[in-house]
Amino acid sequence: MTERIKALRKASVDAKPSFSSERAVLTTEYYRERAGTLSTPMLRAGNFYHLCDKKTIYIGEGELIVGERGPAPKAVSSFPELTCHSVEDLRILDGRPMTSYAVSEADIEAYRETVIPYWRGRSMRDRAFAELPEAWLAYYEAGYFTEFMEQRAPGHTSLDGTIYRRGLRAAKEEIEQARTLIDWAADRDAWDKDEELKAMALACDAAIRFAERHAELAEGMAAAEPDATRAAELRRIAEICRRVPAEAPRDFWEALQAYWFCHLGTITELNGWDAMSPGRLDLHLGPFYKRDLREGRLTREQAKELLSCLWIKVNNTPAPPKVGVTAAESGTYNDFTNINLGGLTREGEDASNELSYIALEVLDELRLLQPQANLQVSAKTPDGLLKEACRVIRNGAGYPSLFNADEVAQAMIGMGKEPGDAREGGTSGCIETGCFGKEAYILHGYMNLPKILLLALNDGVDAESGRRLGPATGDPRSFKGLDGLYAAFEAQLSHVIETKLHVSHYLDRMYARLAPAPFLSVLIDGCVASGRDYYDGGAKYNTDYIQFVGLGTLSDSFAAIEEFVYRSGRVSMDTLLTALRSDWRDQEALRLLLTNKAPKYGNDDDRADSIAVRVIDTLLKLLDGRPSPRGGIYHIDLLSTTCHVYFGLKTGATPDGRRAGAPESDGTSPSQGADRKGPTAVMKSLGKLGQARTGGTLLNQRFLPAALSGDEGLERLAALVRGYFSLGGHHVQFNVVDTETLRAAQRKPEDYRDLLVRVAGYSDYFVDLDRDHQEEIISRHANESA
Amino acid sequence: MTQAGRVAARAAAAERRGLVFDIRRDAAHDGPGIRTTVFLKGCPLSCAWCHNPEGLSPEPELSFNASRCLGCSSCVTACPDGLDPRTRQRAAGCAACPAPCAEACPTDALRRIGRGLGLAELMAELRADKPFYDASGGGVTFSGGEPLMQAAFLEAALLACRDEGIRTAIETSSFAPPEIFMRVARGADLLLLDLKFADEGLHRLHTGVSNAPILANLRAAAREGLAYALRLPLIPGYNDAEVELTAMAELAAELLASWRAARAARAARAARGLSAATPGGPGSAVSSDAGLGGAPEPELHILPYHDSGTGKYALRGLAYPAAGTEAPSRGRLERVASIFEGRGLRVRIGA
Repeated sequence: MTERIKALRKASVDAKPSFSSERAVLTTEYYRERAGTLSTPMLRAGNFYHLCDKKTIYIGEGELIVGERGPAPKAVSSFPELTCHSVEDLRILDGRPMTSYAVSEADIEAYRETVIPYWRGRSMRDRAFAELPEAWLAYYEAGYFTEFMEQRAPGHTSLDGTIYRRGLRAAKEEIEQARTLIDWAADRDAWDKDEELKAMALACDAAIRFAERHAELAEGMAAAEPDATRAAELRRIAEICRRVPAEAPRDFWEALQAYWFCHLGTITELNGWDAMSPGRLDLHLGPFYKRDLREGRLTREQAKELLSCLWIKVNNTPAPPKVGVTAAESGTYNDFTNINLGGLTREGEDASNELSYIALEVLDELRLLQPQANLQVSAKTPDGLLKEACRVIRNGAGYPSLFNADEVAQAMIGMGKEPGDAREGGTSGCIETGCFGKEAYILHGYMNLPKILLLALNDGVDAESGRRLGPATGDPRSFKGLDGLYAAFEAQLSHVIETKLHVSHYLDRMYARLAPAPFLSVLIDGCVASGRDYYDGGAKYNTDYIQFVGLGTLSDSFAAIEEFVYRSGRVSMDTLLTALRSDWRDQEALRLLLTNKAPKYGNDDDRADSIAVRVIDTLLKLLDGRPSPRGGIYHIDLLSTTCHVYFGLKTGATPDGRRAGAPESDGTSPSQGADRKGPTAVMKSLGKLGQARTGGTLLNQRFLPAALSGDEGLERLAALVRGYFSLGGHHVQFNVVDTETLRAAQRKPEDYRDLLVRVAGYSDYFVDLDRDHQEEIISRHANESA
Repeated sequence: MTQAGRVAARAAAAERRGLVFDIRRDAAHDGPGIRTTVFLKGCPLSCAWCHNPEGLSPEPELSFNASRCLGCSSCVTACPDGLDPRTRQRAAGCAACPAPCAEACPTDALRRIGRGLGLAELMAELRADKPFYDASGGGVTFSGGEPLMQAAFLEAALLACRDEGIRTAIETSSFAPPEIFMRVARGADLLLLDLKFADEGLHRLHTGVSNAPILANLRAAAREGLAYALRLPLIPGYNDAEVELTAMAELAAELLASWRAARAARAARAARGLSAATPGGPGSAVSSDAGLGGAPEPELHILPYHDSGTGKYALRGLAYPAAGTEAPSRGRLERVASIFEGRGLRVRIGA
């Protein structure tokens, strides 16, 4: 690591996340003056221009890549037009013990005086919650599902290679061309398209203006800089900022800066879920690196330093804090930028290059919270690259995660995407499959499968509240075998899904009408040509996902009932229901019997695994292929991020022996501690699911460091990955850390500030996790050498 | 074996049943790559330090872990004879009983050690991890107990694995009649051969049997050039005296020389264009390596003593004969390794 990177890294790690009201105040100012005078797209683009023109510009000491979302590193913007924090929210953010954001009195004052008076009742969240149906609220509050769009704009946006070939001035020409093609004679949407396209053009100007202001600042700083070397750097930075993103980048440095301005533009315009990702970074930047190296403009070390600068920039942008009830919960600073390495070219060849290795080195050396990175492993990925990734994994920060590039492409082709587009795609956020730069793939929230089973075991009445939420599906004591119970579960599930979709579509339309994203729309293929916003079906491909949580807990619960109630008859349904309702009071022997002796998903045991397959079949039947109003198609995802802990808290005892309130299984992993036959059996179980039918699955595996020691340990890990992917696995991630270390970190968090662990699709600081999440990670079965 | 012989062997094998006390997937230390290890029950030796005492008896057994017992008495209720398995009040019929008592136990405090498996059932479990064997160069290891105690079943299982393209290893004390040892050994792709003592007297004292048949078998395997590794369980106070280690090192060197000669002869035959017919015969994975000079040289693995087996004795109500033995230090292990390395052997500490 160079001295420069050491210093920048330290500054980034040491900076305390803070809340900045600057964006909120500027936005309020603009809306107050212009709302009602412009079309919505032009209002949004005008606001974006206003922000780019007025926000504080920051260039830090020693930086080579420049630009921050807020006025300073880790100063986080808010988005009151979507969700308006209350003064109480801000005080909680400032004071909560974990993942807090420093909020100054001046910021609170600005909110009290300027922001809240304008936005309360006008923000999208306020408007939506005033209209949401009672049935939805009842399910939502009871913890049957979450809703992504009630807090943040639809996201999961990753770029393809377009921004490196086409500057924004050229994009504007395309936009003007598209405007000339509008059919004013016959197209009833002509005006909407024209306004949207005008907004896109204005958004280009805004991003160019933003870059120019950095050039101006850099020039001023260069003039005042006593150190000649730094002055020269600042002049080069100014030159780059005058060039990109207005024009296409000419070299590696310009390409990185062009990306970073596009990244900042999208996360300034809105607060989309999972921020923004460069997607296939090594694929797109490899040619710049190679040419610069050949022409003597750049050394490997310089490229690594520049890439490190980008890494640090991403780390400087913590996630925007939430509002309302969730403000009191700890969350994560992670905003889920997930850089894809390796993978396939459009033609289906191995896409890795020297930059893939450099990026892994950067990931390993910097050990930052953000960005996440993953290796897309195809059958054509060199063993050396996979092994290098395994080496980084063994160092224990939980990254890179590993994806099966062949399965990812196959899944997308199955969803109807062109093979070249599919191969150039990858996975963003945690594990979500998408066609980078060409697709709006929008997540609508998590759904709590085990709790829906409990609904079926209680005739549609929510046991916690005593309220009837679902249809009456009958007394479980009268069910004839597992099929009877399963039919009741399916009826409840269908009802929950329909209730959720109603509101998902409601919010989806609100975003299209009230919060279009013209800048993002410039970056994603299809929006200019169609004259439609990214949030309104403008992208080349449009997908909607619901993420289902607790597959392991659900499958184990069905398997336990099948084994003990229906097959052996050793436990009566009545006894089981009583035990569940009392959270196993006086029934510890029964609880342990079901925990230890029932078949469990994750042991390559068809008695449980076949149920997991059946559940996925049902989810596909109920949701897959359904149209969404934006012009998208629904698919299913099976990830939980941290929601399996929240859902667990909201869910009573389950028939697999789980106690009320305990975490549910995460992603498509087995229930915590249920996998007793080692990682190969787990992978075999997951290999049965037909994962390419989904938009993504997630497998967590934990290893003790001793199990992976030496070169053989690396080869063993690589072979496990190859084996799993040969079975159609989508994703696997590893925590390589021993329990003693985790316990020590709980006792003395101050000594373990930098202990990164894999949570669920991303890494986080262990000491920043709340106790429930910490315990959940410790409870995952740790594979040791048998 | 002739074609007709193999057909007959397969027909006979379908009938065979083995007694298995564990099948462990993704086992480390039992050969290369990702492996499944089958633990066959029953052993003619009684090594003082044995860490798998549940493998000693050739009969099924019950084990009881009082610390896991809830006191729910489900086992008593389940016992067809109304016995209390927790108090070791067991009847003669217990060994043959399918043990509903253990099945009823909610915490696995009570466990049945040893289950009879037909070859088809065994193979269903062994082929489960085939994708991982293929990805890693791994396979199946037969261990014990002493796997050669169930030689016919073992031989059938090795043949079945070979039919399915699964590479095999056997981990053995080599205490078996020579014709049985060699017949089984030829069916495996790798032999993991214990080397406990060179000295006959010490061997008898601490394992209960003579090492004469063992040494003869080791020499026969080396003389035939079969792929093997020697495994020395280093047990302080038992086999770590300088004189004993030196004797074992000399034996290991002798075996290595013999193995090299066999391989060289095989390579020479191949070079003369003769058929590389070996006693393993066509279809033998060993013979496919023959004559290419690429076969890895036999290694010596030093397996340091560990006391992880101690608890298993307590569960069975037995005293641990090697109680009080301490694991050798790193420095000691390196010193021992150097004795073998000094005689030209490739040594690995740990498996």
